[in-house]
This record gives sequence, structure tokens and C-alpha cells, in this order.
Amino acid sequence: VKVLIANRGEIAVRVIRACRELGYPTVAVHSDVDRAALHVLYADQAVAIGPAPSAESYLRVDRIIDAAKRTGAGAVHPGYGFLSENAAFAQAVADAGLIFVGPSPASIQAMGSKTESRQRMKAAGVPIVPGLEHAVESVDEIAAFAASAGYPVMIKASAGGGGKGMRLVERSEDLAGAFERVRSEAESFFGDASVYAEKFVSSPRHIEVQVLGDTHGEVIHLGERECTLQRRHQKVIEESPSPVVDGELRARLGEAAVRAARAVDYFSAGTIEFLMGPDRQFYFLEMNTRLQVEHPVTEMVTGIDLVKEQLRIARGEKLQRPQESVQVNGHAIECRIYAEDPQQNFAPSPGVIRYINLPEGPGIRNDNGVYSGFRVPLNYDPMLSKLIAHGRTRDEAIQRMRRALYEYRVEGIRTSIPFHLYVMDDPTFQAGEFDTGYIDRLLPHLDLDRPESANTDAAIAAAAIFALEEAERVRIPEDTESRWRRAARMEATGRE
Amino acid sequence: MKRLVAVHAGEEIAVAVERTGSGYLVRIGDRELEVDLVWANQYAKSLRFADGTQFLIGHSVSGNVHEISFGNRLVHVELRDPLEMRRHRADAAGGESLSAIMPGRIVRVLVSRGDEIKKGSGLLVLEAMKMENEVRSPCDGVVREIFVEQGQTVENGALLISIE
Repeated sequence: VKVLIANRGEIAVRVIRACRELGYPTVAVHSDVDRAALHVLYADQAVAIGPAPSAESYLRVDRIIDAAKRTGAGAVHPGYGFLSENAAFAQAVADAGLIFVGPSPASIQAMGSKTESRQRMKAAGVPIVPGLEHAVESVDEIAAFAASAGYPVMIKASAGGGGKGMRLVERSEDLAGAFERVRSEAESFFGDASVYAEKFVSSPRHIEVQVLGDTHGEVIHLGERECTLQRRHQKVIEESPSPVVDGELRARLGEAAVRAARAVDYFSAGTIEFLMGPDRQFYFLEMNTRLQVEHPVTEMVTGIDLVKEQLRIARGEKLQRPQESVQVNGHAIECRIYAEDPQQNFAPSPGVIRYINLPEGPGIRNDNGVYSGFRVPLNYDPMLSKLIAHGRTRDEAIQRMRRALYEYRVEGIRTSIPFHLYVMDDPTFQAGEFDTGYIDRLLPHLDLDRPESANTDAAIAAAAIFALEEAERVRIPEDTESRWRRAARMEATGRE
Repeated sequence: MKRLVAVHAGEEIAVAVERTGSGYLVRIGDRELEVDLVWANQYAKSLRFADGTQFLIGHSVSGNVHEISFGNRLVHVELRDPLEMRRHRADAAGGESLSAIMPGRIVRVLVSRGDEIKKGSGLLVLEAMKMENEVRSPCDGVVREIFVEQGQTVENGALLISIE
């Protein structure tokens, strides 16, 4: 079967690798600015699907299906992002007589809606953040809810949004006052005084569970990923296993995740995201009905190639391993390398990568989508590549990651590498004691310009030498250079 | 020997650099450092001090601000020409200054600091392309500063004398 990859960048490269290992020919699609992108260079065939803006290329269902038909592809892998969680796309692929390498449109649909997924999870017995189902008129109903769910609780305006019309209540004596204030705010902001309440998970961690399901109804889980380290709700560093999850909790998380997946008849690779409080109570947040960016950390510790599993499942094969055979081996950490300048508040840094040196050595994996000379387009996600370090223990994985980040060089554009080095050196990170607010609290104190006198001397010396060489270069008459070139040509060709 | 002023972290540091047989001699303030710099490729260089301490560095320059990357940190160094700096200061103080209109060698300096001069009087003699050219004063005034000395080679545009 020929597989078309409806994506770009590192994830398209990742999928092509799995296809090639299984012997499937590949078709890349690309926008005009991605003609020479790495995923195109690695594919057997490549089809242009439109101009740079995603809406006119990577999001064009019609052009992608047309490209599949024209190249004779029999399957479509959506990667992540773009059309990967678009039920209409999955349906259009099926309608065109092609295999969608992912779940059914119905599963995507069910998990795509916050309210529907919450209801279905509740019905399936998957823990959700406890809350009142309906708006309430009296403070007594909220008091009764808070007494059963436990404080703190968040009182929210039913019509609220944008952070307005909500109040956190930590103690029962503050409840009545907060209730009245949210009601009056709700009335004045939204013209609707109805309010409800939810349990508030303070200092939460973001823990997700990888699941794999086949088309024969079997679902297993591959353990958790710790995805608490986020900057403005964007994950930056992930690891597996979580430093706070033990075997007993892993079994409970996994069992809940499998139940969630079964509730929507899930097959292919998927991820159940949970919010977990310091009391280790966890609650369903949402399900990602696709491959995750951070899937490599699970692959490193379980030894299971998730993309190859997706392809086998799409072919109708049964899962080969029972739950009991899945083992977590060592520890893996992933750093997302973004074309962003951590010294300029993470401003995007597009441009030409003049030079890139990817780290290698024991325990290091690069899921990379760029190369020296590649121009990073402004039109897409700024993630260039993912660096994954695997070690026997979390400490060893951190040491390897620090070492690899030190070897990692990118010239021409700015990247998040110095930021990752800073986090790897941070004692709070090393201790594994963080919550979802950790990075945002760290940023105001971020000091990437840590002075080291040897570096300063080296920098001044280097700058002075470059200035000297520049001055000398200007003085050399032009015909000297051409004589050099002539000599080089003679040496290369052996004749004048 | 090329003399420069490095501006790093808001501080001005006198820097001088010259080639030696095997590498470079760099003076930073009153310290002398032997430096060896080789190119791994156009964008990655290895810099080594005499004690063997080695750095893999990247370099880019915009204007006269050099950005040196060490992987875990970036260091910005601005390099200024000390003559330019003095000229800017002289300009800021008001007065006339004279620069070389061609690269050459200073054969003789005809005036001293504090001399009263008339418009058209000779100030120094610059040799270029085997011709001696007398540089004359553009105005009446007093020699405020002489930036060059006999025997020195100057670049095109180098500041020679300021007159007040």
C-alpha cells in the first residue's frame, strides 16, 4: 500500500520512516514554500498542493485527496495538527475509498466536543472534574456540592468566558459572598445571572496516557507521559514515566484511559489527557484522537513503534501484545526545539538555518524536520525538531539531555535550546516538583546570559580576530582571490 | 596590531589583536591571551586558549556588533574603532577634523598639538602609490589632536588631525 502523509515537518518525516521500515512507498504533499523541505526529500513521491498559507494547502481536503488519487496512494496518514482531528477529513478519505490511518470519524467527532465527551466519560465511569451539571439558584446547592466534592471550588457564570464571571472559593465561610458577586457580575457582563460550580484542582499536573486500540475491539495502554511543563498552554518538555506516578497509580490511570477509549469504540493510537491534583486524584480533560507530538518518549520506554502500530491497525491487524507484556523501561525526556528566541520573550525566529549540528551518542534520538540551508517558513508551527534523551533513570535522562543540548548547534536563527538547558539545570525540575504554572513563574527570572569570564574572554577574542580578518580581507586586491580560485581549480581538475 | 574598543555588558574594554606564527595574540585590557582559532566550517569555529581551553563557537555580525554563540549562551560584543570614537568625541565637542582621503603611510607630521595654523598651511605628508601628498589645513585654528604618528599606515577615511 502506498501511504500519503498529509502533513509536513518532523512528523511527516517520522511517518515516512515507519512506512519505509514496513516497505510502504510514500507520498509527501507540500506547499510552495516547502518544495525542498526534508519530508519532501525523504518521500518517494511528492505533490504540490498549493501556496504557503495552510488554509490553501495543508488544510485543503480536496487537494490532498486528489493528490492521493493521482499518485495511486491507498492510505492517508494525517500526522498531528492540520487535519488530524477533523472528522470530515477522515470521512472524506474513507469516502474516496482510501484507508485513514487513525480512528473512525465517529470517535473523532465524539471526543471533539467538550460537552459530549464529558457526558460520555461520565457515563463510562471515567473520573471528570466534579461539578454541578446545571445552573443553581441558591447558595445552599453550591454549599452542598462543595461539602461533597471538597474545597476549593470555582463558581462560574453559566454564560461566562474569557476569565470573567468566575471566583475561586477556598473556605466555606467565603462561599455566600462569592456566590453573590459572581451572580451580579454574570448579570452585568452577560445579562444572565445563572451560575454553577466546579471543583478547582489547585497546583495541577498534566498527565496523559497513551492508548492503542485495534479494529477488533482490543484496547491497551502504554503508560503515562508527564506533560506538566507548559508555556502559555503549549507543552515544551515531556517525559515518561511521570516522576510522581508509581505502578499502582499507573494501573489506575491506564485502566481509566482504556475505559475512556472503549467508550468511543476507539482504534489506532490515541491519548487521554488527565488533570491531576497534589492528592493524586485525576480527572479526564480531553482525548487527542491522533498521534501526539510527544509520542517518542513512550516509544523510548516501551520499545513500541507507535506509527508502525497505527499502520498495522489501519491494515486491520490485531494488536500483537497483551497489556501484561507492556513494560516501562528506564526514563525518557523530550525537548521541543522551537524557532523562537527565549531572550526576546520567545518571539518567532524564522529565517535560513545556516548550520545545524544535531547531537548524537548514547540514548539520544532526534525527530528532526530541518537541515543546514533550510529556510524556516513563517507560515507554520515554529517547532523544528524534537530532541529525546533516554536513560536508565530520570537522572541519567536529564544528564544525557543536558549533554545533548550542549552539543546541539543551530546558527542563523534563534532556538529554544538555551531555555531547555536552563530548565535542565533548575533544581525544581530536577526534583520533579512542578505544576502547570511552573514555567510561567520561571520566565520572569529567566537569565540566559549567565556570565562566565572564560566565555566572555573567548567572545571578545573571537570578535577581535574576526574584525582583524575582515580588515585584512578588504585589503587583498581582487586578482589575488581569483588566483587562489584558479589554483584551487587547477588542483581539483588537474589542468588549467 | 589592530586596536579596538570592545563594548560588552556596558563596559568599554581596550582590545588589541595581531597575528602570531601559529595563531593570534589578543590583549584584553592589560591581559595578553594567546588564541588559536580554526574554522570547522563557515559557521562553526573552534577557539582555543594557550592552556588548552577550547570552545565551539558560532559567529555572526551585524554592523559592528558581533554575536558569539556558545550553544548554552550568546554573547554580544560591540567593536569600535578607537579613532572613530575619538573623532565622534571631537565632533561632539565642535571643530574641524581631517581624515585620510586614501590609504597610505604618514611620512612626516608637520605640526604639533596646540600649534596655531592658517588655512592652507601644511599639516602632514601622506605617501600613497609612491607619491607624497601634503595635507593642508581647511581653516584657521589650533591643532587640537593628532591621531597618527610618523611611519604609521592609515586606511582610507582614518582620522588624522582635529582642529579647533
